[in-house]
Amino acid sequence: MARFLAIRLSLIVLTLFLVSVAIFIAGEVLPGDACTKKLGRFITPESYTACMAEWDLDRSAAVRYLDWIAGVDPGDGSGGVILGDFGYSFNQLRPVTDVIGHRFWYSVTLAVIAFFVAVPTAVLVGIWAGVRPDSIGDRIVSAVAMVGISLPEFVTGVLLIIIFASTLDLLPTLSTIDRGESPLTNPKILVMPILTLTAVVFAYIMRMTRANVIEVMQSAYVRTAVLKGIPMRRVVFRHAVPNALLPTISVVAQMSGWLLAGLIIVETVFSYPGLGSLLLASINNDDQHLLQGLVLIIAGAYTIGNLVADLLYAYLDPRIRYA
Amino acid sequence: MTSPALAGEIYTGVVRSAGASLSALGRGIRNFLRLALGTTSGRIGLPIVLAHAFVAIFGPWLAPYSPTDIRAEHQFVAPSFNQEFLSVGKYTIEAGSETLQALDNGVVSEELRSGFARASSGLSALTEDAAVSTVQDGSSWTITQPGVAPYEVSTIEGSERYWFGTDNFGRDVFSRVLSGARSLILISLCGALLGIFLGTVVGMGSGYKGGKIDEVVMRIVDAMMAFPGLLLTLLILVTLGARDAPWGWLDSQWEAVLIVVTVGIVFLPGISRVMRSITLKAKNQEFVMSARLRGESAAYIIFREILPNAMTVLAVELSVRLSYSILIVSSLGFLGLGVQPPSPDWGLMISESRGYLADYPWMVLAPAGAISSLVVGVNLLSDGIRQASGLPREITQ
Amino acid sequence: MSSQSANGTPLLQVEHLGVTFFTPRGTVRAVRDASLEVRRGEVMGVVGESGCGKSTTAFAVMGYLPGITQVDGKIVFEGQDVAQMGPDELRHLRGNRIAMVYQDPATALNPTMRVGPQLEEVLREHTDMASQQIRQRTVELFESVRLSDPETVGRRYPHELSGGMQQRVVIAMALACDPDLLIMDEPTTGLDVTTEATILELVVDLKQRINAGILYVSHNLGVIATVADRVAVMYAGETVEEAPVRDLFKDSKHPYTTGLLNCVPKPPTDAGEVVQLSRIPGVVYSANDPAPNACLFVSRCPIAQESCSRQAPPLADAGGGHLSRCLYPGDVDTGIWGELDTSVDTERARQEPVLTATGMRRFYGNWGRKYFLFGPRVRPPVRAVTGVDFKVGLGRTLGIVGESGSGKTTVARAIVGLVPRDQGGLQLQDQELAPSVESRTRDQRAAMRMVFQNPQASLNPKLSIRHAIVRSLRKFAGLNKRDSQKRAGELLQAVGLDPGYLDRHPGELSGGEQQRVAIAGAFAASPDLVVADEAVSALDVSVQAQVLNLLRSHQQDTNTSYVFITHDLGVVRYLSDDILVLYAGHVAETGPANKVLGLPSHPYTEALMSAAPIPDPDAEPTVIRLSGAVPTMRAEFTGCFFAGRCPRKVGPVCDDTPPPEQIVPGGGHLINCHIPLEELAALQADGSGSAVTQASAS
Repeated sequence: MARFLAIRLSLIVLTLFLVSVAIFIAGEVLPGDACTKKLGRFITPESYTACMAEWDLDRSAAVRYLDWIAGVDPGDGSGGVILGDFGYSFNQLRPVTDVIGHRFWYSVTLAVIAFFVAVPTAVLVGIWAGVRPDSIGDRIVSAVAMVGISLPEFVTGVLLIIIFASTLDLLPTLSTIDRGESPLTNPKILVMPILTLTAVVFAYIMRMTRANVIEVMQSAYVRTAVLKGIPMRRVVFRHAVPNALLPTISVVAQMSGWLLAGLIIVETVFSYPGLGSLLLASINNDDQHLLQGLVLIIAGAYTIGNLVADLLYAYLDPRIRYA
Repeated sequence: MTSPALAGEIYTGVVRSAGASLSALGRGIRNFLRLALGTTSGRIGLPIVLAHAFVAIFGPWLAPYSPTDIRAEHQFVAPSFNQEFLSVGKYTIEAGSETLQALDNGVVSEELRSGFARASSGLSALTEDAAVSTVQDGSSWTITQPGVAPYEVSTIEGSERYWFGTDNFGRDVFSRVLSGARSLILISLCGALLGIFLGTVVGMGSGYKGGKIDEVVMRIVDAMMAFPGLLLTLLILVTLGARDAPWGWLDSQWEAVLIVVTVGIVFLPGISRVMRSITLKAKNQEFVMSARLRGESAAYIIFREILPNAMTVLAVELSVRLSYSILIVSSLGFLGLGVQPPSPDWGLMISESRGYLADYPWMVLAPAGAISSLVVGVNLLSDGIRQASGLPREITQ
Repeated sequence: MSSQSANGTPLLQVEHLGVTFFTPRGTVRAVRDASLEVRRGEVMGVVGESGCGKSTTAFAVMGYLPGITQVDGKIVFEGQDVAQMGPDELRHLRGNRIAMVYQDPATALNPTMRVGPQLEEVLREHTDMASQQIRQRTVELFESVRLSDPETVGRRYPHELSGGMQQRVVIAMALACDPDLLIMDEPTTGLDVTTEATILELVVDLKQRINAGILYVSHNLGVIATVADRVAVMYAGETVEEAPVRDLFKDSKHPYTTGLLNCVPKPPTDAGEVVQLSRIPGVVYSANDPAPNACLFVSRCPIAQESCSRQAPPLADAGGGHLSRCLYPGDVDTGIWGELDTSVDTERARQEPVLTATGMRRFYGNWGRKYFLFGPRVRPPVRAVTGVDFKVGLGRTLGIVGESGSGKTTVARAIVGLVPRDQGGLQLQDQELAPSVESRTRDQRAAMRMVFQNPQASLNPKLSIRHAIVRSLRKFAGLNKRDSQKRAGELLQAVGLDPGYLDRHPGELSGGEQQRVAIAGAFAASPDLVVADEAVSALDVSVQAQVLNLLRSHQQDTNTSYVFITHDLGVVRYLSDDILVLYAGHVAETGPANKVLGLPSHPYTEALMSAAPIPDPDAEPTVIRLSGAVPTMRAEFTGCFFAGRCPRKVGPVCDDTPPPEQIVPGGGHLINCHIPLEELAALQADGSGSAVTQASAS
């Protein structure tokens, strides 16, 4: 088990390393540099040189990469990504960690609540529909899920606004948060963003669970269980469901990625101050360090989600050897 | 071989291969229809998709109005099959029955007032004591208001058919929806096809070759899959988007090309994994071993022996990817990273109309309905094909 | 079998059972008219080829027919009609009074649940036992099916057990509540012949121990002859014959049964004569077609008369309780399938061998490291084939036999170069062959062709038959397009297929037809050597006979050499001139067929022969049994490769020293064993196997 964990962790480190290199190179190949853009019309050779020196842009890419990752240059006081220091934001002239700061928790709040609303309900409904395929109930649930996977988040969000904010006037249209306040002080603003995120995740996981349950219900070992004469309830919950949920675990891990990407759209629709809208802003403002930091955080969260899924899978499926 | 004989050989060869490819195409279409129409979902999905395809091809010609012409005087008109308008000086207001009645009775109703307010933004709105004066020969009226020069209201100016209403620039939403279909569907389809092509080449090549190459390719694919789809899309688009079109003639289409390439790259890892696993399975199948024993080349085995067996999976994969790619492309439009205005884009239409949600919901509902019905149609079709072809109900990736 | 139970009312009466499935692809009449009885203490064998409704009948008795199904007729179990029962009644019956054993134990057990609880839940459901008693009873049950280590086996997961152990668990589960009726649906199909033998022995033992009726479904006539008391033969969804086992095998009253029996390869006579297999023309009447008012066998029957096409024969008494669905049961005898040729196998003149392998070795995989790519080397590669020598003579057949995991398929693939050997030499006539097929010359590839086990998979399902054959012709025979088309038609005719098949796709052909196409493709370029890897294992016995006859006659016509790989000793005996017995990648014994199958034999060969079921109810029961399975060969054997399972192990020498190569006088017969040849011959001749206890290895 420890060996398995060690191998998986080293693979994650490898993946994140590749990601950091890729994102750094992507920033490097962009034409024009930050200083030209920053100084704009007021650029002079002197101010340009000064700017390049201030931001260390006059050094080689390799040195800057190492400095960014590991903080090898002690002079600028940066600890490097590995110590949780993501550098300085060009645009906001603050450390990236500061810029991200509370927004990280806002996004996590949204994603975590959406995850814990969507996943259990989706699994339960998926099991319910899967044991009675092609019944009327199953058809209704499947049709709903079909609509769920088909609507883009921004459509769902806008429709929710029309229904709950404009027509019924139950919830606020926008989900803005005052600086420094916790999103939980006014839970009303969270309802629609969470519902929007939930719609896709629910539909996807529900379809997956349903399909797996149907398949497992047709397996030979479920037939064996039925022909042992044990009650149907036990057949479903003791024999079918544990096996059907195994493949669902990796889909749930993938959904953690969907959730994070969905945040970009949802936060834009509802003007919610989280990582997604920050990411979009950093792209629009060409804020390299901020973008790199955000990407690493999201990729890290996603890979860790996958690790948890792998561990859970290995724990639940006796056929998996820790190798 | 004498040259007439050679020419004859070439001629028959060309005719035969043309005939063969035609019949192969016919067989492909027949197979596709058999799969698509084999299930209820397919039978519902296919007509929806075909309707969208029809709009994508003929939409711009079907559109009753120009999708981009700004008509300030027809701002925010509600959907209607036949909307009459009155001219007020140089402004036009919607002619609801109440408006006409108000004019007849000489009363300035609230509706008339607000109609003027919208139609004549910039002019002072009508006040409480405004009145409609003399009816002149039944074709025009004069509205008087203290302190303001009298407006002459002319006869019914004409009727317009704003089926889905108009937007904040007075543009016909219906025409915009019709014209927006083409670029979205074309870009999404090209992106999905490019992804299928890249994924198939990389996945099958890597899977068939195996060994170190396979190991390296799969590590890269894993790293790409560490990004959620939309994030990867944004990053690639930003990286690619900073450069200009390499050829001048491409300038006008450059944004579209960038999006297609981005979607293609984003789909590469998922599709290549599917194709790789098919190839790995086929590699151990006996018909592939037979081909190896005949001394066939790797390319022959991949494309002539294995690929035909992957066609059903590819058809399902294409339809699934098409729906993803529509979601991605329209989301890019929504984020303002898609094809730039004034050319209409469904995602962008929704994004631009967000401020008017409360009062003029049709501006959002029309493009939202268009996107949703398109994706629902594609998803139904892909479910149908998958069921009819007996593949597992869901493919992970 | 006690006499009083044989006379009482039957435990189970199936009367005119019909089962029809309504599927999206059409109506399938899986069972048309099946009638049979099972009495207490008796094994009722149901035999027939695939698609004849055997398994459907078995599941109908359990009341388990999913999908949209129509059941006609009656299934009376102890006076109650199972077909009329509600869900609660059925649930009380299943696992309790009627229990079932399934074809594939690996999939029949829940993969994520330990096997103990899987058994215990049957007891918990159907009895009032306390937990303590249940646990005790579970251990007893595991013991009664002779699972080694019954105390702890329950804590294992199915994938940690071998196929034979899994099937024992399933049997223990079926026996849990002392059922009145035990249904066994192909319980040994897919298991190795040695494992099959031990399971069959258990079934025979159960029959004496429990007072239940057993319904035993199998396609294998040898298995049925071994275990059954009475037999029902099914054809196209009908029972066509039912009789006590001896009557059925010795004096069949239905032409289909005699045809089937004649299709089973028999050992050569003492004079070295090989009895040709009979050929049943045509295919089984399709389950998609409604029954005509005629005998369903009429188009394939050698004694059909005009009246057979006008009237559906009933299942009637043909004398002495022997039921037959034939209008003319009196006309049936073994001769109706034509005089069977007996060709004397003349010892072919020994010529230069076509193919010679020396020290052929193949390991799979690399050393596994402790931490993925890093760390010490902890997992050695699998030693699939370890230094194997053999020769294939011109126009001769080398049969390679062994259990699964013995390395025989690796040998086949290394010969043709699909799996490159990593050591050793391989010569085709006088040329040294490169390890992998890609680096061999066109002529070398043309000289050696292969026929695979699974005919569905060996033809590309998306390409026409034409493609399969023409491509070989163009690659090897150097024919142009037009000539190769013509030749392709001729080749199909040569394997007994209509040239019109060229434009069909493999899916439109039956398994036997597919295999004949594969053979036509293999023979397209007149190869010197054909390697057939389990080429008939997936086929029904009548189709198998057709293919074996085809291969045999082709060899006589063209003098092609064969390497024939199979686990079926009957088939090897029928076809081979020389035999190579492989175990765990090592040669156990090799030599001319009659010598290897005679005395003395390597203990492993002896065990294999002992295990093979013989389709003759009077055959002497054999006694040598092997338990366990071929080990995974990651480490080198310090002693004899077979020591772990050998029933004749002599002592520590077997574990310490590799066995010497002993040459039996009289031509090319080698045995790798510590036991001196005379002693071996003596041991085997006096049948002292009864003294041999089971070697336990698990």
